Order: sequence, then structure tokens, then C-alpha cells
Amino acid sequence: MIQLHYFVNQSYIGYPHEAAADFGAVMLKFSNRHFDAQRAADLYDRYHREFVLAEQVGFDSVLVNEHHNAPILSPIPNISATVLAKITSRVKIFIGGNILPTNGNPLRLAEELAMIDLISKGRLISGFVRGGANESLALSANTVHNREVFEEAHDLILAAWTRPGPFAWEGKHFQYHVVNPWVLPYQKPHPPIMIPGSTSRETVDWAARHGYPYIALATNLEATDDLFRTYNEIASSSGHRVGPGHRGYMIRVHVADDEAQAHEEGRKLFGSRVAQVTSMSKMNIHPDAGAWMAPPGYVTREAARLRRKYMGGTPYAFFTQGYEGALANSSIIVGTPDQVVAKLDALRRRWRLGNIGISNLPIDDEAITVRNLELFGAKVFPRLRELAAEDTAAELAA
Amino acid sequence: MHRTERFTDLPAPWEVLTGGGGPPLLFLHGEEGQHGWLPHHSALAEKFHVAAPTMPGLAGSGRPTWVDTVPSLAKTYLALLDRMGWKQCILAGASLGGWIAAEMASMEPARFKALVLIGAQGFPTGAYDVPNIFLTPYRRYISFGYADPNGAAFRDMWGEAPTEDAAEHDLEVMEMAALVGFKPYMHDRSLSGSLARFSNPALLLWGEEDRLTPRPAALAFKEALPDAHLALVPGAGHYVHLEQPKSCAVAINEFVSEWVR
Repeated sequence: MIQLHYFVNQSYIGYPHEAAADFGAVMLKFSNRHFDAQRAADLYDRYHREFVLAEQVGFDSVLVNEHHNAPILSPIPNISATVLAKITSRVKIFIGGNILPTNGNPLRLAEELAMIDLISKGRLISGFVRGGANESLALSANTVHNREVFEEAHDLILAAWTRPGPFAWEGKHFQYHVVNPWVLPYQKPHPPIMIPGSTSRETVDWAARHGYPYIALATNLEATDDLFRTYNEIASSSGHRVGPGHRGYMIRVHVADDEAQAHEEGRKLFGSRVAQVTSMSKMNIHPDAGAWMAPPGYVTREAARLRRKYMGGTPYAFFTQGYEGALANSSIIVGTPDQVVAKLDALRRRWRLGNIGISNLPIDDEAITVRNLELFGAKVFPRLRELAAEDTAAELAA
Repeated sequence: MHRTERFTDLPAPWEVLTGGGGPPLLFLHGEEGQHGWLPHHSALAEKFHVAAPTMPGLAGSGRPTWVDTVPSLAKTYLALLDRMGWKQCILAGASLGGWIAAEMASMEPARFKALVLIGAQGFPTGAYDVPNIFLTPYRRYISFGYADPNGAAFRDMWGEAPTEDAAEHDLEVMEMAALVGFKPYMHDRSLSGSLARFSNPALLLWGEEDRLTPRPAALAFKEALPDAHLALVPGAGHYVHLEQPKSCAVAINEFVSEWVR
């Protein structure tokens, strides 16, 4: 059994690329004067069409996320999820995820998520994330408290969903005189929770302790080996029976009918302003951008030490490696359906994955995206599911 | 000559640099950190018995878990004074340290014969173009606190790439600043009223080219303090004590001899 998740970042692809290059970043302080309302409204239509198509071609879930102060049309994932609840009928709606430390009112968030689960008749997968550091800065949430707030907000949401009210909540960061939401989730005891992340060791530990599936977001392959080893150990020792369903990996994939065409399009996708960065490698990165990625207290001292040692603090590593580098480093998969199946299946076997996230890089030419999705449905998924089912059968036999 | 005193019998340990002789003067550093016994300490030690505690949360001084605001920080410094047996003293603080000092003065006004605020945080600076410590790499922010970021004063202290220990110190001090000053940004609205209790003389020592707490911040303190004297230091930015340590000490000496009895 393999669950296939469709993700598109709902990028606002209408901003002038040169402006971003001049400014040296596409986040936090990159001015919203480059935002055009009509263009954004049209893009919402387009992304909604793509989500519906993703359902039609056979994805198991469609995934939305949360970003602020950036050309991404997804500051409030719960609104996207509500739309999806009404324009799709079968797929799971995966919010991957709500940024708990910036939310401010987790009780209201518990209510919003319960509404989505009810309106979709139990199709919600609720992801929770700490959010990139720049998201906390965009909403002025104190980065020093990020992890504590994440954990307490989670505990409160779970309590609101599962403990009969009324009761009071006296936490360090949240206090409520009365917790008694009258709108509760459709799924019992609560919607499934999955934790997307990009290797922060503490989040892996936390997800494993709770037995929540962990979805690694395009992380470096060797780092991901360690990550899942750690996850499996901690989850098992916390009493969870760990199976493929607990592990997921999300990666940018593009498929086309023949190889040359796939790479021609892949290069365009990677290099297009839509991918948000085009020539990040060529531009001068804003002198403050390092601070926006790593404000005080956002990562542990240990993590900060490792970052100083290994990364030298560069923010746009994915883009600065270039297209060929991204292929070589397996941070993007591009090819014919057969090639893509082989690569995705290799990842599945490497970590015994039960979840694969397909991240789509949007581009102006919608036809490319549509063909990509159709090929997934017709030629990638059937074989991928077959291979996964063979493994499952073999395991059961053993 | 200075020495390091340690107090380990308080809820959290303290490290205090002391030196000199004369009337007692407590000097609080802020987000620029504690970098040992510096020229401004020496210059002040010629006329005063100077004690410069290391801020809780930085190597040497521990932070009790209940300390997560500037007023709660102020209370731990008052407890330190109790432990040191300093019943009365002159209280000085720079930047975030100035804010802590202002809170202490509002809490126990009779304890401090005079208050010296050097580019103190504590009042809203408001404008978007005032550099924000949480949106700027640490050492770049510090450089904005100098009138001349290319001058010897800056280069001698911050010019080299930080060692592992220094990078760790940067992180500690930034985390403390964020813990107590993230939101609202580096201020406490109650100071506009609570400082009225402090009727002893106060010196507002501001660099002429302070870009981090521009002049309106000094004027807000002047408005809130019943007996405040504003002195501007030429050739200094926000960190007057670091950029012009001698002028800083001279201004404090003059203020004390003229106004404090």
C-alpha cells in the first residue's frame, strides 16, 4: 500500500523576477507592491483546477501548506482546504501543515480543522509544523518560544478534539477559562495527523514519540537515512508499531512523454521565476536574509553549531546547486514515466515508504502541468502501486 | 585592576566583574553582551567602585526559568544587589541594560542615588527603518550601533570572524534579547508612568548618531523622568560606552559631581 500525495505550492507566479533578484530575497520584506489582485484571483482558479485533476488522475491526497509574506497564495491553508472539501469528493485533504507557533489561537484552529473534517465527511489529514523561521517573523511570533508553543498548541488541539468539555486550560503559553468547542471532528478519535519536516532532529523525535507519520520534505538522501533510522528507533521504543505508513518523502517530480522533452521542461520549471528563484545563484542575497532563516532561539544551540559548521548559513541551497546539480543530488526527479517510476520506487524501497509526495513546480504554461498530471495517472501510478503491492504481499507471505 | 566575583548561593549563579574605588556604581550591559573588563569599565573605575554583572542566560550567569521579561530580569538584579550588600548605589545601563536599569529604578527608587541611561531601550522606536535586532544578523545590527562602523572601536571588538565561543555568546545574548524584548519590540509601555516615582537625578547619555534608539526615545525618557538631564556625545552611535568610553566616563563623572549628593 502506498499513498500518493499531490502538492503544488500555489505560487504567485506573477511577480517580476528582476525585482526579486534586485532585492535579493523572495520572502519577508520582498515588497507586496509587486502583487496583482486579478492575476492572483485567476491563479486560484488554476490551482483549484489542478487539484481537481489530481483527484481525477488518482492521487490519494491533495496537499496545501502555509506561507506568509512571500509570493505564495497560501497564507491560510484552512481556506484552501475548505474549498477542496467542496470541489473534490474522494481525495484526502492534507494540510501539511498549519504553523502552530504563529497561529495565536489553537482553540479556534481546532474548530476550523473540525469544520473541514465535517464538511469533507472525514477526509482531513491534519499536518502540524513549526514553520520556517521567516514565517514566525512575518507574524511576529517570538522565535524563542517556537518549539514550546508548537507542542503546547498541539496538546491543546488534541485535548479540545478528544476530551469532553467543558474544561479549563492553564498552560504556559495558552490559557482558556472554558474549552468546550461545539464543533468536533468527523473522524474519531480525531483526524489523522502527519508531520512534514526537513530534518530538525527535535521534530523527528517528537513525531516518533507520538507515533505520527513523518514526511521528509526533499531532504538530502544520506540525512534521510539517519532521520528514518532515528524515527524508527524512537517510535518503536515509545510503543508504536512502525510500518511504511509512518514514513513519507516528498520530492519535486516532472514527467513527460520522452526524455529530451522532460528535461527541456524540467530545466524551464527549475529555472523559471515560478520556481521562485531563477537566478538566485546569480543574485546578491539580501544581507539580512541569514537572520530571517535563523532568528534567535529558533533552532537549538546544538543545531546552530552544526549549521555554522556545515552550511555556512546559506539560505537557497536547493536553487544554488543548479538544475544539473539538483538532478545529481536527487533533489528533483525528471524523466519519462518509466524513469520516474524507477527512481520513485528506489526511494520507496530505500526507506520502505508508505507515503510519497509529488511536488509540482508550477509554470506559466498550464498545459505542461496538465500533461504531467495525466502521465502520472496513466503511466506512473499503476506501476508504482503494483510494485508497492508486490512488496506488501511478499512481506505478508514472509 | 579588576576581579571576577561569583555568587553561587542565589537561585541562579551570578558572575560580576568588579574594580576601582569610590561610590558604588552598578553597570548593566545589554544586547552588546559582556566582553570582559573593557575601557569604559576602567575609565569609570577611576572614580567609582564599579560592579558589572553578566546578564542571566549568558555564560557565567544562570537564568531562573521564571525570568522571561525585563521586569522579571530587573527583580533578579535587585536580588543580586541584596546579596552584594549594596544598599545604595548609582545605577547605569546601556541599551537593553538601560531598559533593565529603568525598571529597577521604578521598582526601588530610593535605592539609586542616580540613574544613567546610555542609549536605553524601553520606549517604542516605532519607525520601520530603525534597524530591528531580530531581523538583522547580530553583528551587522551591532555595527549599526556605531557612528563609525569602520572605525577602530568597532573593528577592535567585532572585526574578526567570531570564534566558536564568541558565536555561542552571540546566540546567548540574542536569545535573551528575544526572550524579553521580541514583542512588543524592546519596550514597556508602563515605563511612561512608573518612572515618575524616580525623583533622583537621571542622566540620559545618547550618542549624537544613535540609529538604534533615535532621539525620540531619549525624549520619551526625559518626559517620563522627573529630573532628567540629556547629554549628547559627539562621535558616538548607540553604544556610547563602546565607541567613546572616555567621553562616556567623563560625562558620567561631571553629571555625578554636579547633581548627585
